[in-house]
Amino acid sequence: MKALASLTTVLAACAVWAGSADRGAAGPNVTVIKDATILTVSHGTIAKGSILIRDGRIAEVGPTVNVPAGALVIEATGQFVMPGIIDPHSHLAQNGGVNEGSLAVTSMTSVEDFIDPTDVDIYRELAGGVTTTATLHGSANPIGGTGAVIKLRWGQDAKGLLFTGARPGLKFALGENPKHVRAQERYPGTRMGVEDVIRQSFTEARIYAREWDEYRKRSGAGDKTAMPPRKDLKLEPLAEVLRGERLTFVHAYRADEMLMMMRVADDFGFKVNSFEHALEGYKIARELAAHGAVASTFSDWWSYKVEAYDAIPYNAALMTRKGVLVSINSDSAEEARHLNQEAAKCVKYGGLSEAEALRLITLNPAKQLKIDDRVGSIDAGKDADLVVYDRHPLSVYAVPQKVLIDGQVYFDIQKDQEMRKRMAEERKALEEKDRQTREKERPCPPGKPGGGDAVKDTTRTEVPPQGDEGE
Amino acid sequence: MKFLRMQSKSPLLAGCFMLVITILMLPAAARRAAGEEPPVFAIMNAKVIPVSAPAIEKGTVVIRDGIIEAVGADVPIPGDARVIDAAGLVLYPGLIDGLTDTGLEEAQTASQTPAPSRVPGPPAPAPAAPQQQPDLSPDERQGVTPYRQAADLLNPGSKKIESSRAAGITTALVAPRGGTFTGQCSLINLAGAEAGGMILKTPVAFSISLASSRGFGKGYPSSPMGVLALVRQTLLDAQRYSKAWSIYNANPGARRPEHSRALEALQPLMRQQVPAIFPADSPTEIQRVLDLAAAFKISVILSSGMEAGKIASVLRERNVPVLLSVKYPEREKDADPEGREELTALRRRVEAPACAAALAKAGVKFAFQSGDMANPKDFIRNVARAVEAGLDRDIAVRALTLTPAEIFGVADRVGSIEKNKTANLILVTGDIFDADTRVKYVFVDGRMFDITEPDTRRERDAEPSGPPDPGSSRGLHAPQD
Amino acid sequence: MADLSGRNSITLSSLTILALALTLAAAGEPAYVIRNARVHTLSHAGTVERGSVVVENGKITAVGVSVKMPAGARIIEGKGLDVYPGMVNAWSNVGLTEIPAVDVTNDAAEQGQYKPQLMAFSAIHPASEHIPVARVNGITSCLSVPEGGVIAGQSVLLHLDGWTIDEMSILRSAGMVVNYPSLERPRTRFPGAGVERTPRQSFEEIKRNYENQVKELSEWLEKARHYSRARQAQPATPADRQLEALVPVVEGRSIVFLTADTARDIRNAVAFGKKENLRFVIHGGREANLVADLLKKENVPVILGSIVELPAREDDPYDARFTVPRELARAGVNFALTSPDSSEIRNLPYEAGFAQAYGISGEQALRAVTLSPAEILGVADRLGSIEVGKIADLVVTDGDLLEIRTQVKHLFISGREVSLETRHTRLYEKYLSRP
Repeated sequence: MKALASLTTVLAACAVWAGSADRGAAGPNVTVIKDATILTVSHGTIAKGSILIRDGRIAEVGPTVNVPAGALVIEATGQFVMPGIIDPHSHLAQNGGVNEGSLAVTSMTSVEDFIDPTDVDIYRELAGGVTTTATLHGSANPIGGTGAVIKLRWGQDAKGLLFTGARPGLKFALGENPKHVRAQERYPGTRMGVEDVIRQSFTEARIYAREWDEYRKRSGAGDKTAMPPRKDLKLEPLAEVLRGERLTFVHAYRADEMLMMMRVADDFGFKVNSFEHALEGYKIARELAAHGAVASTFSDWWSYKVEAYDAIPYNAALMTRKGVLVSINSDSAEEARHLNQEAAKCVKYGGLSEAEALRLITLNPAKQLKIDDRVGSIDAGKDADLVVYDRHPLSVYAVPQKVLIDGQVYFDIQKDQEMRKRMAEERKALEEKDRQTREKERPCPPGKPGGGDAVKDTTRTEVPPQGDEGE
Repeated sequence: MKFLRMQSKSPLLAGCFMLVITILMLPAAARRAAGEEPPVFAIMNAKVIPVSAPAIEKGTVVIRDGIIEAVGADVPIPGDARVIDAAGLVLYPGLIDGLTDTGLEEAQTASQTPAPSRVPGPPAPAPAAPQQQPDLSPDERQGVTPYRQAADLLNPGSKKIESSRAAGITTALVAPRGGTFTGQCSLINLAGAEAGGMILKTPVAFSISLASSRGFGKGYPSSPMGVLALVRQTLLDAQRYSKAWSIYNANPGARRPEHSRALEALQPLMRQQVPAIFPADSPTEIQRVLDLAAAFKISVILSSGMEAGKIASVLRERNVPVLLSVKYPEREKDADPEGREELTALRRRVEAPACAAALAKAGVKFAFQSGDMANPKDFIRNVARAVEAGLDRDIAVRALTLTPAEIFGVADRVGSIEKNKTANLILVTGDIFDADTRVKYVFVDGRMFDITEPDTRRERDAEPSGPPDPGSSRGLHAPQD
Repeated sequence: MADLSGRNSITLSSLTILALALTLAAAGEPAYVIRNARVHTLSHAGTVERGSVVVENGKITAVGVSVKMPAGARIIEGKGLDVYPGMVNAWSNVGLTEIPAVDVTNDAAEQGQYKPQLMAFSAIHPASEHIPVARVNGITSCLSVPEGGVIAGQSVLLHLDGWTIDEMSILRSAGMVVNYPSLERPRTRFPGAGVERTPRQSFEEIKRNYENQVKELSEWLEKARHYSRARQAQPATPADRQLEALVPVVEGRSIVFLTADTARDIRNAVAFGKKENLRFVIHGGREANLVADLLKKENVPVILGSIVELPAREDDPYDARFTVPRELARAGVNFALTSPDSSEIRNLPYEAGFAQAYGISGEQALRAVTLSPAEILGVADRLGSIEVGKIADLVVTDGDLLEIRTQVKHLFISGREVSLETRHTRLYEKYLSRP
């Protein structure tokens, strides 16, 4: 009875905390979101339209769609649907430490190995409309670790969160943070040193790649004495950057350090994929556009450190005007919950259009992460990652009502209310069980005299001869 | 003195006196540890729980020279046997602790891990060379000591060995602690004056920890990400090491690779001859370990596994045994009375004892470990709680006896009461999981230990509770001639 | 009566000179009329469609559908625009920090536990770039507070415009800041790693520390009462500047801000404030929703911190912080919303918008950043609504003040039109024009 009760509780708990029992493989295959204002991002606004979702993909989107029999219908009259928000820079769902700050180069570390699917911030960000995020290594090192792109499929395990097929990335950090982070005495201490570390590392990576090429050639030609070079987990990702197989995410604030990194990239024959934060990006918009680097910035944070003192809320708009591909990121689980509002600020500061503003948190970050073939807009063929709002998402009053990923509802504001009740009930049940256990556990003082000895004496019927005992 | 006069008169008698006195003068601990020379025992009228066979309500077990000679309801008693009437008692195989620091607790401070000293004061001078990060060879890396054997660090006089034995534990797998590749675990019997006589098998498994114990400012690695990268790189280096030496040995013209103590020590792991024990609790952590093991094709035993029940089917599928911790999370003692525990912590705490039942249900092979639990009695008590939470009693007993023996590859030697197995046995006053049950006698390698409560016995040397020995200390003062 | 006419003529000429001087002074600051706008008065007059507001000599001199226009007034066409009272940010560190990571720019947290004599007023940096950045989104006045210790010091209420603090200051000593002792385990957050480390203190220890601190705090107040009586009885009593600073507090002339966040801490703070007979306000109030009824019963207003924050506990609802204003509004508690970080004061309207999205009405939201803070700070006679006689702090927008995409068109502080230029607009212009 007790065993059954506890097992039931365990299972119920899993379901409850997982958020919704009907999800994943168990969920409906065909869904229609009906009669909403659809902000496609890629081809304008459909004032009143519907979206047909099949097998996790958007099958059709238009003023009317065919509603197949048995489809789950989500009535969305008066509501707004936009593509799921893509946050290209966070530290969400990590339990590996975010930073390995002890060395200047830690490209051998990987965030992907430490995805924590139980991080409640996943659910909170989901409730703010985020469906995909790039969760990155911190900025304690000139060269940090590799990151991961995940979808916020709350309730799945670590592997279930991964965005399969996303291009792998590597984190770099310039400026104040990688210099003497957390009072560790470690080279480098200046921006000059930061460049030095990066150039040195790429130089070593080049040599490493060449050694491997030579080894493969020799062993391919049948040389039995060819000794494989050591597989170096630190240099592998750097070699992949040089080959164009791995994206670079470069944390940078000041204009000069971004120019430095582009110079390094040019010298070593690769492209900087994106500058993260790039708060002075507006000063070198021309150079950023020419290089083709994405600028991923905050909407309006400034002044918290010296290199942020020239940050302006017009940054995103100004860079956009000058031809830079711009995305907005959160770098924080709290900020990520209202990226729609941060995008709205770029309308206010600098006059981006609504469409341009929405792109900052959808199609542009999708392009930045090279997943725009899958997500970032509402187009047939793309993943059904969608957010249903009660108002236009660029309004301060907009509250996400439902969030879908791969066509499954992962956040539902009504179900959230029910979940709270269930959690409260679960808590009560657990506390009661705990109380009962503690009462049973009334501890016996150890070595209690009396009872034990009496038992001992009466059962010892035969005294071993000669008194030889172990003690 | 009369005694001295006696000596000169009769050398033989004097010799006996000397011998007896010498024996009695030995420190109690050594006497306890050495026991007596293993004689022949016949334990009669006990309820015998062989584990590998059904219980015998009233049975006899004969031990000779540390081995079980016979087991049965009706077994002839050898003439030279010391008979122990165990009516009303229960005879189990000696319990096996699946993983613990017993016997090594005092050795922890003498860690061989080369720890960098963080001397407070003026900062160290900044390194001159821009190459700030020389790649350390495996032998230089912090926390990489796979060659350390627990057997070499054993302290036979450890208090915990004695207290474990008094709780009914006769065998334990001991693991070195500290660092990432902490070393190799050894299976020991919990009785003996010297390490050599205690070792059942070594190495049994490597011990690898993915946790980072270092904080910031104490060198690499300082984060779990860093630790995993270190483990990966070291295992890659171990793979390459073997390949490089094979090439060299087959081709005299090739360049001679470097020798590495650490990589050499890891070869049995890479060749799947010896498994590795990894601690992990949450399903995510456990999956991480399994992925690592699969990537390097190493055989893995999971340790701790407090939430392993949630991923039991995967463990079953991959045939991964578990050394299940019963150090259940406890409520904070000095907690804020109005403080509210987080739901996940509350859930984990309340459901922890039910994990074993979940593993059993899924058919996962598991044993119990005491880990660093200070009191071995709590270990048994907490296993009893797992039974209360739904674990089948027989499976529980097996998980303390035959299953760990199977996991460690010594099932032909220990873990059940069968003919020809080592005479590791415990005689207890009732079901092992009853709170009132007391351990009466413990046999390790056939040596008998009378387990008495410390407060009923004065802690003095040699106070035999049987009839006085002719050479006993009392006898010293009694006129003999 | 020889000199009567002489005296009369002197008086007359003085009066003339005086009148001339006043006219000249008035002429330095023009009058304004904002006409044909939607005026959100926040008074019994409600929202006036196609209304006008007259500003003269720093004050609002007329509000309504038809007003008398003073001669020479500058006219601002308000067709299609909205006029709101300037927002009042009831808690911040504006002017006391410039770049928080650079320690020498931080002046809010002095050393020591009991510092009632310290005045934020004296440390405000009027040329802080944060000030223009904050005001151009419609925040016209702000409370700036000292930090740290148990009694942190005296806050200052200032206009976000002026050459010196003397010009800016509305209330030189706007309320005593007290960090009421807490029974919660102190927590440290390590930024970036997101690790929370709780130093190991038993609850017994925490309780003991709490009781000692409360006792100490109470003793300070008692000493101040005694000091006040002593000074009155014997003016030659040696001055004690710390006790002097507490006298208005114990005499009920100055308000006290008691910072408390958890339900238990708030309950304890309220009980303390009552016992000590203080005029007090709760600041922080993260869990004020749980004690809303108590706050209403005791008529305690609340100055909330930012509500756009993550829930404190893992299993709190995701909107736990967002819905606190709703619960307070339901219970009838008077509360102010704030944007405390000086670099984010410009987002104050969005705190209100967010609160509205999560359950309060438009009126309540607007009030929470205008009239309510004015009331709580004791300056509702001068600020917080558009009424005749109040200071002319006004913001003119092209739409809903609380909406993000709204643009501010005009800003008035103390009846002066204030430039909308900031460091940010200057940098924007500069780099916009980079070829």
